[in-house]
Amino acid sequence: MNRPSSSPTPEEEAQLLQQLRQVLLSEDREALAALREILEDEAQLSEKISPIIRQHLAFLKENFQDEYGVIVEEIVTKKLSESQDEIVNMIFPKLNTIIKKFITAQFQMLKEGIDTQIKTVQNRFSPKNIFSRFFGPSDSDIVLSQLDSPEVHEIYLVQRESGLLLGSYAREKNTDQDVIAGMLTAIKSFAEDAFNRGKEDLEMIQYENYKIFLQNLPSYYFAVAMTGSISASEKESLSNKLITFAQDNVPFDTTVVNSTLTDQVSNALREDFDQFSIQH
Amino acid sequence: MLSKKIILTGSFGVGKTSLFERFINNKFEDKYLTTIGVKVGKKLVNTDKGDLSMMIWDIAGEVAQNKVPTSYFLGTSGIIYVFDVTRPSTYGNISQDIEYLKSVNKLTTIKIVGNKKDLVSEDDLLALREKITLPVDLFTSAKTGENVEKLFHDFAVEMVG
Repeated sequence: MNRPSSSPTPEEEAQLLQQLRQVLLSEDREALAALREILEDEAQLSEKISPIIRQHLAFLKENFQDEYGVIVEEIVTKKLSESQDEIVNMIFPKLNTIIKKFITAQFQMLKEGIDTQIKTVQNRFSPKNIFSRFFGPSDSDIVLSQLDSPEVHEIYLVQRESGLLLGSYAREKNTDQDVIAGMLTAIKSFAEDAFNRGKEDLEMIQYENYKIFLQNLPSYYFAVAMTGSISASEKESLSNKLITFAQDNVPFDTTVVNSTLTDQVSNALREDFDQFSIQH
Repeated sequence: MLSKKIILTGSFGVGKTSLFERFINNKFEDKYLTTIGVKVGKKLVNTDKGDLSMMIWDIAGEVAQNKVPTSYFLGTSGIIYVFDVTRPSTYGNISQDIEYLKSVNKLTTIKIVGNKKDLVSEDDLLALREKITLPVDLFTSAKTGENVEKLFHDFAVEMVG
């Protein structure tokens, strides 16, 4: 083997090292350049990475419960226990309304059913009243029917076209009753006009458990504000009571509305309805 | 004491609600909020001939009166037809509107009122009187309160008398 007689100069040494580097690293450099090209080109990078992500997502989809279920459960449990008041405040109003509506509807159905039963029993045994005492509704039925019994809070007698108040009665003093009478008439007129019901009248306004029962007569109408459930027979009973009241206490001519008339009608309403409770 | 129903009607944005608020609550809002449906208010008016409980219905404005639900006009003792002195479109159909109101309620008294008088000069109002085919009963300003009390008081006197 031939050996050089003298050591290489630094330039020669550098050149040799460069050549050596070229030989040893050329493959790695090419691979690095290709890799850089992939990294810098979004399309190429996406092509390479997307299958991996998709695969991982598919894996997560299949195994999320096993991999992260416990952690997520812990986070949710912790958050729920920390925010109990907020959650209750958020849910309660909605839940309360739904429960109230449900209970009212159930009572309504129950009472309608009881009414039908009573009528059936009464009709069946009416020729001999004595029998109805034995075969009439049971005590439990009667108690049930009284659980959510309707309670009258206010009564207004209102001139039909003008909406002027002819008389009123309220168990508790409330806002201006003249204005209420006017607004009720406006609502009534609007509803009757809007739905183009010709000679038909609005008979009930209801929001939540509060109802305004309207008994329409030719020149005036009664508006009875009440709570509780009212069955068909109770409605009939209330209607009869109002009509009887009108016959006995409301003057034939109510075209001129003055305080003498309203005082007279209001006093009569108080006398008739202060202790009144709706019966079957 | 007598009770009577009075209606404020006219096109939208003429100041019916402002007149209503000025008369009943003695206040004025610059902000315009459109009236939805009807607003009912009450005011006791004292006159030499007796007192009157006025039930005032402030009706949502309509470009033509035949768009207003007819039932609102029933049982009224007086109608105040309001227009805006600065907007000709609000008094352009005045003759047809008044004819219509008379046909709906033959017994009622109708007053024609030009509102927002604070925005024009006296000369403009004179010219307006000439221009409008029907006699204007009063020019008012709900903003300053000018003639508002007089408008309702005059009505009350007519009704009580």
